[in-house]
Amino acid sequence: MVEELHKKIISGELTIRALVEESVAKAKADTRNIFREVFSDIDEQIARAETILKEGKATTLTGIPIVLKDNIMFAGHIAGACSKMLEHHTAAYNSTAVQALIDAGAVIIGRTNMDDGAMGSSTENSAYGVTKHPLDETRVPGGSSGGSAASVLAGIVPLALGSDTGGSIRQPAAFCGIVGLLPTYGTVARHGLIAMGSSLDVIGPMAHSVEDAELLYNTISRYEPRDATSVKESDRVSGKMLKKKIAIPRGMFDQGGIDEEVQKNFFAIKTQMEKEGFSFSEVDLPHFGDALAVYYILMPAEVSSNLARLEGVRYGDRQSDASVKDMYEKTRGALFGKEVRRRILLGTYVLSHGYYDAYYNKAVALRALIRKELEDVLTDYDAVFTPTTPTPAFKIGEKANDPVQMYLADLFTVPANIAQHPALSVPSGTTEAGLPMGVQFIGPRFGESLLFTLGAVVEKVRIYDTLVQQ
Amino acid sequence: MIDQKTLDHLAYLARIEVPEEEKEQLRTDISNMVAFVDVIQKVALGPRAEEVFTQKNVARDDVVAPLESVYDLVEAAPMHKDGFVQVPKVIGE
Repeated sequence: MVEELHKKIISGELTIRALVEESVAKAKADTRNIFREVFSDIDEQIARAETILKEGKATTLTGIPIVLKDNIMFAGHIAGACSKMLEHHTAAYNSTAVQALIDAGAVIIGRTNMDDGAMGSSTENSAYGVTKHPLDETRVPGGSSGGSAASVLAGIVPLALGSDTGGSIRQPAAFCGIVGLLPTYGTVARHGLIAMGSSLDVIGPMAHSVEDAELLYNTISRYEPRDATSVKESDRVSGKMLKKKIAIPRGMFDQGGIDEEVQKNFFAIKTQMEKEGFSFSEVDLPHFGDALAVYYILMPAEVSSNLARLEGVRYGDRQSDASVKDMYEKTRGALFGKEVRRRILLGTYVLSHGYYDAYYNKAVALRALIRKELEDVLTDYDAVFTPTTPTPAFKIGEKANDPVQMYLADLFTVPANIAQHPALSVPSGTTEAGLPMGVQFIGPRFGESLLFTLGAVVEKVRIYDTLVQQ
Repeated sequence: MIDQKTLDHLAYLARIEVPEEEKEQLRTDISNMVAFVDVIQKVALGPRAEEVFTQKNVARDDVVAPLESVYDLVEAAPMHKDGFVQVPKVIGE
């Protein structure tokens, strides 16, 4: 899709202005609460893209409209993470990913709705209300990158950036019938991403097709000296060739709660891929199922530490000036959303005296074990194959009052973040009610190209074309 | 199980004011979350599991360079004056 648009721009059949203005018009007309803001400097951005084109320096992304999740910084624009705390926070600099988009000549048309601080799986935790699923407005689009996913599904933009800490790109991508990639930790820099869980957070692409996701990934994936966990390009070696061997975690569906249509679809894709010469084997990943508990220790611990910087002094808003203690407690009590406060308190608990060894240290050790087991499997197999989510998009309000139920939506996505491996979600079909479903491949570190190859096979064999609205 | 005293202590450590009417629900939620993650206590760990993470420290060269965005960063503070961040009185608290 993006490649076609690029060709039309180069041939003059389509102007950058016409393409961008169509996206902007659709964004402004949206009634599903997908956007937090449509930016006001679109004309300047179009002019920049046109200059790049005129000078013969156009990349495939030049003039292509794109949106950002509200936690990715674009200098001079508000980046609020859909939190009251950062409602007036203007980005002082560009994130590495945004700088890469600017260099490529892409036109960033706006910022999208998300769960407060990226904490949630439905956008219901946004301080500005839920985004409605474009195919069924009684349902959630997933989260936390729900606005970004919905903007692509709704045909407003061909590309979006999200961020993924425990599934926040892949889960909404699956719910919205689009492609979403969690890149290998360290490939796309965190510089300029509003921090949640620093050992887990990765910015990644959301797109109509695997090809478009690959294009966007290649653009934003660059070494960043200002991110101490960024990996130099020369060190990004997977050394893995396609073996056409795929692993399925043994007992993955045993715990229950996995939707029947999701299971049926998963095995249908497996059968189709077997016809393409792929072989599937059940493998032992004994601690795969523990990843979610490990995640809900490590992530809140990192959240409680990272969000200590939001205290009414350096960023965002302030609630009281009576005393320092009052300023801290009132600002943080009033401006963090409910789920954010819950996670900070849980993180404070697992890090507190007397519990540190039992929870945090144990989880760190288990994390290493989960990664080791995954790496062992991936020496013999191309990828680990799972559904992306246990269920298709759920109803607005269905899980809103039960945080633990909401966490189970991340069951299959969390292990890749825990292991810092890449994972790709590809649309794989729809339920009888017409709701999208997705399958996920977890690959070896720096094995993105292997994942794109597998994703393209799913696109070829699945039984529907695309749900993206025109 | 998290009791009310523990919750109050956590809220103090995290510097978060919790309204009285939210305390009971929050206590229940955090208790459920702790019960959820408690499954890891049953997992037996072998030795040397921690050696799997082989991340290297990537420090950049120590070179003096101007920080262009310093005033933009101060601008991001909720209260500031003449290039300084303003806070309530700290000394004597």
